[in-house]
Amino acid sequence: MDRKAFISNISESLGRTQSPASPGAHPGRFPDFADAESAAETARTEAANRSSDLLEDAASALATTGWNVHRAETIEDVGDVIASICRGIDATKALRSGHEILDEAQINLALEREGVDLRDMNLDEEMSPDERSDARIAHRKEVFQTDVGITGGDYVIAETGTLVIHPKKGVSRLTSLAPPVHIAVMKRGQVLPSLDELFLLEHVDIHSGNRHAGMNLISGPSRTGDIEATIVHGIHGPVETHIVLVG
Amino acid sequence: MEPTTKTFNTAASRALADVRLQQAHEVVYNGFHRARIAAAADTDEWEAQRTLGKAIKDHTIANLDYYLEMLADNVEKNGGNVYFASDGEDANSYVRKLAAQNDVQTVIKSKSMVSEEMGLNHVLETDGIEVVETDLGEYIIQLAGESPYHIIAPAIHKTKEQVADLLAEESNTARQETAEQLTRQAREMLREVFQRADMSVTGANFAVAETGSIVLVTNEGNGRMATSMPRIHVAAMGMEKLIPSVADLSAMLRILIRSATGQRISCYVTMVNGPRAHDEEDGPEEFHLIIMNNGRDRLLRDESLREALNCIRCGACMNACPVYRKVGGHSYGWVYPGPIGSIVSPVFTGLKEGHKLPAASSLCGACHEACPVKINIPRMLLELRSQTAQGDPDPAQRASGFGERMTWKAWRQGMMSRRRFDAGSTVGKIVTSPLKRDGWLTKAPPPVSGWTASRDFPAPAPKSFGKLFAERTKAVKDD
Repeated sequence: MDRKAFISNISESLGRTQSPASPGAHPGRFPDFADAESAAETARTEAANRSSDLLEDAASALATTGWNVHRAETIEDVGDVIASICRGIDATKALRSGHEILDEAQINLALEREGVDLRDMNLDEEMSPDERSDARIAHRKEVFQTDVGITGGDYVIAETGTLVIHPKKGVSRLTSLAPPVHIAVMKRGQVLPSLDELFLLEHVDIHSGNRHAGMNLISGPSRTGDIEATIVHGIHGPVETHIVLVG
Repeated sequence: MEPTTKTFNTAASRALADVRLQQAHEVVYNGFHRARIAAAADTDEWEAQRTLGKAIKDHTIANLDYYLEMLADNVEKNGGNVYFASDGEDANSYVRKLAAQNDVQTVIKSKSMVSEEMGLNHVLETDGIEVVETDLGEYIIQLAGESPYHIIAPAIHKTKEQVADLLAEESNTARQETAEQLTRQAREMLREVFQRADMSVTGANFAVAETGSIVLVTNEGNGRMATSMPRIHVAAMGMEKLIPSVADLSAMLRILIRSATGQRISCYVTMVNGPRAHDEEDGPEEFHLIIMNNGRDRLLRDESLREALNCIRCGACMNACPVYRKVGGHSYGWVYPGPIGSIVSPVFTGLKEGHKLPAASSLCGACHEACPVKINIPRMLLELRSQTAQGDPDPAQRASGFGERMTWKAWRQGMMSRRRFDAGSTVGKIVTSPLKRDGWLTKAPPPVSGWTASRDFPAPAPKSFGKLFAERTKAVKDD
């Protein structure tokens, strides 16, 4: 139906002839954008200042939501941790995202030593539209035949044991979803205390023009309780999720 | 979905006699209800979160026209399309047209109650399109040819053995036994479908007006598959499901998820801000948002019922309800069962069809106590009972008959005068005396036989209190 007619029916149902010019004070946490901006600034500073404590909180919350938590003292240790997870699950094929932390950790070298075939999925700027489309189709096939997906991420939420990833160029939505095992690498300083800080930062970022096509909050392996309320992991997403915390 | 609210009584009797269903209801109570109470106790400032949630929803609904326009503008700005649908048929016709234009062969669904309202699956199948539900519970229900039993746990009433038969028959592979094996089997079956689907239809747990986003909450990951694999993503939402700001999401997700399953957070929360970015590797090329009215304006118009639009569809009122836990989800006869269903269904179908639902409540208040946005459901059930008796100005929509209304009118007259009351009780004593057995009325003739079918009524005393009181006062005076 026509949008105008739909909206004017709602206005009329609310006892007026048209939408109000302003909705009045919003009862949420940040009715004023300036307040949100300064609160976001404070949240970022706090997260940096309390990074060690928050990392410990995150480690225990992540374990509660079903993540296998691995600790690495330095970025140099990450390669070995990932190699040993891959060994444990007999992985032969892996797919990685373009997150920088994976380059810093030189996981390509570590997995090559382990004999794991590691691929990434980069759409070259130079590709023609047809080539891009072919590359996308190939990627979608490949990701379902891969043993493990390896990614970084944007935040970890200590309140809920959650990894947050924005899908974007180089960060496929499927790498953390389709393979039976997902390994994420995150470091100290990326932990936020709660969902309040996450959605505050997202609110401010989007309004400041830093908008992604979406955001995924991942809290442990995929699960279902739809058959006689028995909890089973891995219905559509990964059966097993690992997170390596650096620092 | 065609409503069958009229047959509530017979459907409820059937459910009450079904031992398997009664066991499933225990799972709802012991699982979800207790988990919700534990999660609430475990959350800092739970009451403050509820209060904030209620304030956000009150504010949004009071400005629904304003925020819907904002939402539509922002979805379009993000490169998505918006369609406003007056009802299910209107929404279906949009999806059909879209599917035909894009030569869609296979549609995957990720749990959407609005698409149940639309009866979308049936319509698309008529057009020769394959439609597959991907939430495991919904998939089981689809294979069984039924409707969801509970909005969070659609297949809670099915046994493992029934599921095993359904999956084996559909896949033509060996019959599996344990929940674990059956889940693996379904995983393989559905992965095959994900890879060839051209279009997905999802619901939206929230839409955010300021950013034109929708938010999907799932545990299984089918919401993520639906927003990663197919070329076209269609989200269908009821027009009340929006909130103003992304900053509101923390409180809203907390109260929704903790009230639904007692988890701190679901395994996946997926926010979609439109179609994929041009340089992204995967994700839908097209995003369509359908915003549906389908009778919701009737709730908006009636100030005494408007609060029902605050509902965030967590299912907590069902899990808490002593009536739902006995009569089960199918008895209510439409998409939304339980206490909140007893408000939205009769308003959707008209009270003449749906008046039995608001009556099927003990008004114990457990739903009000459980509701994460503090909807006063018992107050509205009473309001609907009152409207059933007299409220609807259209006599054709009045559910109570002429005889019933006259009876209550006479009752009112009788109760308002001492003389008429005494006369009435004398007549009552005479009329009931042939039915009296040991001080009880055990079997009354129609139209009141229904009352004595399941319980006895105390017979009027030989001497009424009024009479005894008068006699004794006189005796004292005479002394």
